[in-house]
Amino acid sequence: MDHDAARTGAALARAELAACLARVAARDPQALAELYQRMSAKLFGICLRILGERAAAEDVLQEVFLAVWNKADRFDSARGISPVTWLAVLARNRALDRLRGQKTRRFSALDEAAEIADAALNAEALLGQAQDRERLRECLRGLDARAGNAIRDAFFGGQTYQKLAAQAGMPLATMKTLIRRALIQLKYCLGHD
Amino acid sequence: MTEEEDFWAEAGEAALRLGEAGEANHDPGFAQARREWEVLLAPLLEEVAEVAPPPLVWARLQAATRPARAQHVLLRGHRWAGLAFLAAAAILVFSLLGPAPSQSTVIASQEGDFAVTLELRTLTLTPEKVRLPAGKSAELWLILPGEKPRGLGLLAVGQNFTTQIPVPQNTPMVLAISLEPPGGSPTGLPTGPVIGEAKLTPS
Repeated sequence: MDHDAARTGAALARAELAACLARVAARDPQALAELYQRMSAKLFGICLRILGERAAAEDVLQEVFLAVWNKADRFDSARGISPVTWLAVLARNRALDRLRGQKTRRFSALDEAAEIADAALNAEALLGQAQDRERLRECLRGLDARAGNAIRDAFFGGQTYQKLAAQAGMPLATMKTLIRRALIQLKYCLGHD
Repeated sequence: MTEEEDFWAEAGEAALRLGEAGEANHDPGFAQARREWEVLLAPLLEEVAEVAPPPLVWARLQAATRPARAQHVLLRGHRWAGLAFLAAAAILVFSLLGPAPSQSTVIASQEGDFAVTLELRTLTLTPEKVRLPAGKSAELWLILPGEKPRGLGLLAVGQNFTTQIPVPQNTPMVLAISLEPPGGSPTGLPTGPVIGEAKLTPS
């Protein structure tokens, strides 16, 4: 029962945030203030973790909210992805772009949402976010420890195969093979093939 | 490795930004697979601690998203509606975000209105249907508690006026506009009638 209640609460919060995102994209300043209040600390944490520098993280944080405001990136609730996940992924991508000195990513941002694999997102929609987290954690634990750590490191950016290989003290080709195998294993473990 | 496994591994590398430098794979299926990886790995982002950003970011965001003409439209011929709107907007922002780094008010006068916004230390005045008596100019003054008025400059009736003000946090200040001879006050202090004023407290 508690679980159901928590789930309903989470679904409500999610619907609220999705509605808020839609209002921001419609240029509602009040919605922007609400979105900022709810999400800025979480997204700033992500930017800061990736960039390691406040000034750059502040710039990217502003960029993320402007992207929603200017409809450069669009959230589509029909695709089943949670708005929090969508914003977090957006912040990570923008921060990594900055880290690499790219101004914008090469994809056509407007259509990016439409490219998302529905299968994966429907699967995600069925799972609670906490379950997603637990599952990913479990799957990562199942990997070769060196590969699991390398994937975590790389996820937060600034890594190259050279760096990862040097950190683990193994030849470059070995690291590449290790990671590629781990990614495939992870994919099977997460249940999408 | 099957061909499909290879494809997923490559998309995963791209999501981790481990791909080769020129990983310009424009194939829509690949972009989709990469995006799917980003979402699958997104729970890692939930482990990152929240950090409150400095108020400056919100101020910049507001400045970047404020519709430049909204205030003009609202104030035109509807001074009180405009004032009510600005007051409501200010209260809203305060209630949502606590002490907001951005404030707005209006200096209303017989000669026309000036919409005032203060973002951190950047003060902007937007004249709205301002008409000055012939041979007069409008001069803006900053008055801090216990201090003499400080001239901030002459206001042109047809364009925005922006300046930086050296006011410490939480110090109430008064902005006043006086009518002066062309070129401004000859004494460095207001000599003509004060046509309007407003009080602000920079946060």
